[in-house]
Order: sequence, then structure tokens, then C-alpha cells
Amino acid sequence: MKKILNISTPVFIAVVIIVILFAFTIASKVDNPDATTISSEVVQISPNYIEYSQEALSASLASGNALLFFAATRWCNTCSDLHEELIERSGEMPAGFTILQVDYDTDKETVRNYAVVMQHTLVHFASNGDEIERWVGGDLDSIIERINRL
Amino acid sequence: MIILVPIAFVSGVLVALSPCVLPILPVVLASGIDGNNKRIKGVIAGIVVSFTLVVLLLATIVGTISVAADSFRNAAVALLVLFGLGMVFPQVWERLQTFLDKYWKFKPVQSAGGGFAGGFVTGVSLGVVWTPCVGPIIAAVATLAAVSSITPMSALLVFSFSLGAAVPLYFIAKGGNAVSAKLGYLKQNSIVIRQVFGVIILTTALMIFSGVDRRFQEWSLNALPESWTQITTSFEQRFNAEELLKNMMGVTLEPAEPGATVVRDVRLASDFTGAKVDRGDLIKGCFAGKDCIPSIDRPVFEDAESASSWLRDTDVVFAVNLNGVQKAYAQRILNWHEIVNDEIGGNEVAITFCPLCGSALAFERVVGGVITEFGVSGFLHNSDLVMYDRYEGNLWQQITGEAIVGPAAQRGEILKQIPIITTTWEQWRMQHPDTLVLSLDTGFSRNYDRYPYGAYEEDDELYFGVEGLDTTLQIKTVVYGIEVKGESKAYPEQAFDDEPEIVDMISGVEVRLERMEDGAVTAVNLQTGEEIIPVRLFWFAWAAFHPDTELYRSK
Repeated sequence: MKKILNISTPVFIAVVIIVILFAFTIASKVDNPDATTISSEVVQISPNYIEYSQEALSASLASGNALLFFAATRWCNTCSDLHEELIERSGEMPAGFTILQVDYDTDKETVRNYAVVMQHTLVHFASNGDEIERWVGGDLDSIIERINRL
Repeated sequence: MIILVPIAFVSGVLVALSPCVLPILPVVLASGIDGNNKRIKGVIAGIVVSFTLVVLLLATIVGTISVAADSFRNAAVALLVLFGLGMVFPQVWERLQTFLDKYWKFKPVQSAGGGFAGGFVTGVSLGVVWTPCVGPIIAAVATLAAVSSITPMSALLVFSFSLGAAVPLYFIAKGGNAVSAKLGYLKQNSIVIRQVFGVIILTTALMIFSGVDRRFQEWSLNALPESWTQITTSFEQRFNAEELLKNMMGVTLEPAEPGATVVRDVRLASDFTGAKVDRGDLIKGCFAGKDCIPSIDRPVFEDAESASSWLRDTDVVFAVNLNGVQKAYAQRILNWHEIVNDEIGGNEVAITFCPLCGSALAFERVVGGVITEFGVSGFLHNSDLVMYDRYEGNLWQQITGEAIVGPAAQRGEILKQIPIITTTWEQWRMQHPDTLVLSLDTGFSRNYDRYPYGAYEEDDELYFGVEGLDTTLQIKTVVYGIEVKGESKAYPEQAFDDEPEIVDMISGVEVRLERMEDGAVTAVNLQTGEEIIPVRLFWFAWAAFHPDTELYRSK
């Protein structure tokens, strides 16, 4: 018993150190997604469906469009489904809308500023920037239904 | 509607059998490897409690104290790391315990991850970091939570979902135990086994911290068949959960018979068809939305003598004298609640006060013939309180009593006003010694000695925009406004200091305004003998809602 302990403790320390090092290597990669090379131009995914950035936000507000923030992730299946729909059926969104895709995992600042706490949160803003409503989940049809109800 | 509860339960069972459970699976699986049943129960209970609370409360907490949701995730990860280390190095943990016990008489958990308590803390951390695939039911609960709304139904649903998930998780943990028991070697080496458990916790924590869990989840969504990854969503859709949820979300509201009493959790009207204002005119006064300032719905009253123990003679009160019953509501309390849903002498009355406009009005709380309650919508229009009703969710302008958005606006409804006066406690109690007084015992913890808006009542500042701000008078000058045959006129309160009785002409009609002993200002149409209810408020607010108003000038 004692012998096992004597052997195992250093082994465990080693394992823990390896795990910690491994994790931090990955973590540091995640935290700096090429911070310096992020392009300042507006990344358009499909007509009126744009990756969130300060520039994209200003441009959308300047165009007088209402905004829809979409806190998207790749690890949530309903998010991916909506993402596909927004590309394939982009013509069906009501006119005068810009959808800004916020990366729920990496864009921590935006997620914090808008107090988003769950993936697949949607926040609807008027063209003057006032929040109209927010909700979680739902496909493109439910977005259109909600917007038309207003 | 109640059928949703078992659906949520089964949905939870399915989630725990889907790939969404994989990130937390190692810890659950390992929690029972040494046959410690108490720890298994602790882990499972911790997951149930914390997942339920996170879904219900996290949005409100993050919105109120502006902490990033990620801080909670990181704290949970830190807790897991601490526990993992404690299990790998039991000696260090014991020393830490002794140290804490010696200096603070504080013994958090006997041995790291040992019994129920240790398991519970581990489970709580897992519930915080776990981000399962959510179907329509949890999405609906989260939607309500995102606007700080928790209903008994939404709480029940998320709890039922968590309980459902707990069942397979419990058996998974027991299974882990059974496997390790078969490998007889492990049973005799409990310290080593704990160390294994500790390493598994540490590994999980670090994977979560580095985001590997989410990338793994992403991979599993692409690699595994959709029938398995989307099992909760398709299950809930089969039972038509989305239709059933609409009731909870207040989308479909059944009309009630006139005379009925209906108080329900409504969604604020957002259909601007037939609205009296533009969407852009409504300004969000507080982030949390409806009931961000809580109305008093079960008011408690006391007599004048006991109220005098806390109510100073100079304190402002709003007072109603109706059917032989007198009631007074201190401004100090209304500053924090704005609306009291009350019953006075057999009448259902809402006492309303907008601190930013200085306007106190009382209304019959009847909407479309149905008795209901009013609440604070969270919106402002021209700095004035916009109320909502708990029958249809219409939005109402406080100063005019007019429905501005919703079905009632389409019907052109205006609330029936009940005379209310603004006076001092001394004046009111001298004239009405039998008055009842709204008690400080409101059911909320607020500092009623504090005025929440600084120097607002005297200064020239406004917090929110006002259309066509009229600065003929200093904007916070207190006036009494009346309307006669569509024309409006404002009388500065000071005018009554010189002339307690004013006889005046408005749109060809002679009216008399009079300040009474108790501080009330009354008005009467001398042509018809009808009583007119004057509105006491700041000048800018009167002018904003009556842009063509005349202004009385003292002789």
C-alpha cells in the first residue's frame, strides 16, 4: 500500500503538470485568435447577414436598418441550423434588417456588453439602437413571425 | 399546459443520453468509482440545483451586477480545479482544512470530494459549466429568464428537465462503480482511486477552461447522426411543445368575460398596429424590462397614529377619499414602486406615480371591462411612466391614462380617473384623522428614507428626452393641469398661494379651481356642475402631453 503511494504520487504530479501545460497551450491559442491580423473590414456571410464587428455595427446603424444580434456557436446544433437557414433563405428576412453574427465563444466583450448568457440568444434592436426584445432559440420562421408581430 | 412538465422530464432524460452530456460525463462516471454512493448523490443533486438556477437566474444576475456570464463559468472551473487537487493531494487538503479550522473555525468540506457535500460542490460546478443542447422548452424558459421573468411554470419546467437528466446520470455513475468493483484491484486502493477521480476532475476542468469541451461538442454534432444529436428537439416537436409553450410565453391570451378578474403573466404588447405612439418614442428606462420597478400588489395599511412614527409632517403623500374611505400613500414609498394595486371602498384602484414627471394619478383598474392589475413596463415616453396591464399586456400612458400600444389602444380605451391629491402628511392627517396609510411593510427591501433621483426635483436636468421641450416656465415648476372640451390649461401651484380660489374661462366655459384645507386642488365646470380632476405634475411633462396648453398667469 505504502509502496504504491510512494510511486503514484510523483506519477500523479507529473500527470497533473502535463495536463496543465497542455491545457494552457490550447487556452493561449484560443485567447489570441490572431488578434493583430483581424481585418477591419465588414465580413458578409450572406446579404444582410454579417459577422459582428464595431465597423459592421456602425455601418448597419448608418444604413438605418434595424439590427438582430445572433449569438452563434458551432457547438450548438440549433445555432448551426439557424446559421444555415440565414444563408440559404436570406431573401426571406423582412426588408430593413441586418443580422449581426456574434461569436458567443470568442467575442467575450460583446457578449458581456449585451448581457447575453446563453448560446442562440437573439436580440432585436431598432434602427436607433434601442433594444426591442430578446429571446433564446428558434428558427428563421420564428424570427420572421416575431418581427412581423411587432 | 401541465403536460409540458413530463415532456420536459423526458427531454432531460434524452439530453443525458445524447452526445451533449459528453463534456461532463467523465466526472459523473468517475464519481462513484470507489463505491461512495453519497458522493454520487451529491454530484447529481448539485447538477440539478445549479443547472436549474443558472437557467432561471443567470441572465438577471448578469444584467443587474454587470458581471460577465463567463466569470461564473471560470469560478466553477476554479472550484473543480481546487477539488481535483484536493483529491490528488489529500495531505495538502487535510492541512488546509486544519488551517482553516484553526484560524476561522471554518470547515467547508471534510474531505475533498469525499461525501455528499464534496460531491455536491463538484455537481454545482458541473451544472454551471454544462451547456447542453437545448430544445424548445428550455429555450422558452431561457427567453423568459432573459427578460428577468420567472414564472412558476418556467421554474417547474427547468427543474423537471434537470431531474430527468439526473436519472441517466445517476445510473451512469452507478455503472462506473460497478465496473470498478469488478476490477477488484481498485477496491483495495481507495486513495489511488480518489487520485484517479481527482485527475479526471482536473482534466475535465482544464478542458472546459480551454474550450476543448465545446470543440468536442462541435465535432460530435458533425460526426454523429442527427437523429441522435437532435434527439431532444425532435422529441419535443413531436409533442408539439412549441404550441403548448405559447401560453406560457403569453402569446395567445384568452379573452375574459366583462366583470371577471384576470391577472396573468403577459407579454408586453409589441404590435404597433393602431398604436398612439411610434416605436421610437418609447425609451427603455431600465434594462430588466417589465416590473424592473416592482409594483405593490398586496398593500398593507396602518392607522395614522402608527404611521406618524415614520412619516414626517412635511413628507409628501398622495391621498384618496373614496366612498368614505381615506387612504394615503407616501411619496417616499411610491418613488420605489410607482404603482400600488389597491381596493378602496369597493373600487379596484391603481395608485400611480411617476417620479420623473412628479405626477400622481389614480385609475380604476379595468381594461376591456375586466378587472386586472397594472405594472411598470420599463418604458418611458416623454419621461413619463408607461404602465402595462396584466390582462392583455397593453401599454398605457400614465399622465393621460390612455392606452398607447396593444388591443386596448386599438379600441381607443382611456382609463377612468379617480380623484387623488398630492399634499403633506400634516395637512392630510389633520383633516382626515381616520385615514389609512400604506405601510412600510411592502414586502420589498428598499431604503424608503432615500430619494433615488438625486436633485432631480429641483434642477434643470432631464434623464430622458422629451419631444418639444417647453421652457416657458422652469421645467420642474409644479402645475395643475385641467382639460375642458379638448382644450387644456395649466395653473402653477404658486398661484393658489395668492388666490386659493380661481375662476377662469377655458374654451368658453367658466371653471372654478379651489385649494382646500387638506391641500387638495379641486376643479369644477360651472356650466354643467361637473367635477374636473386636475393633474398635478411638473410643467414640462404637462406641456409634453398637451403641446397646445394655455398657461394661467396670476393677476
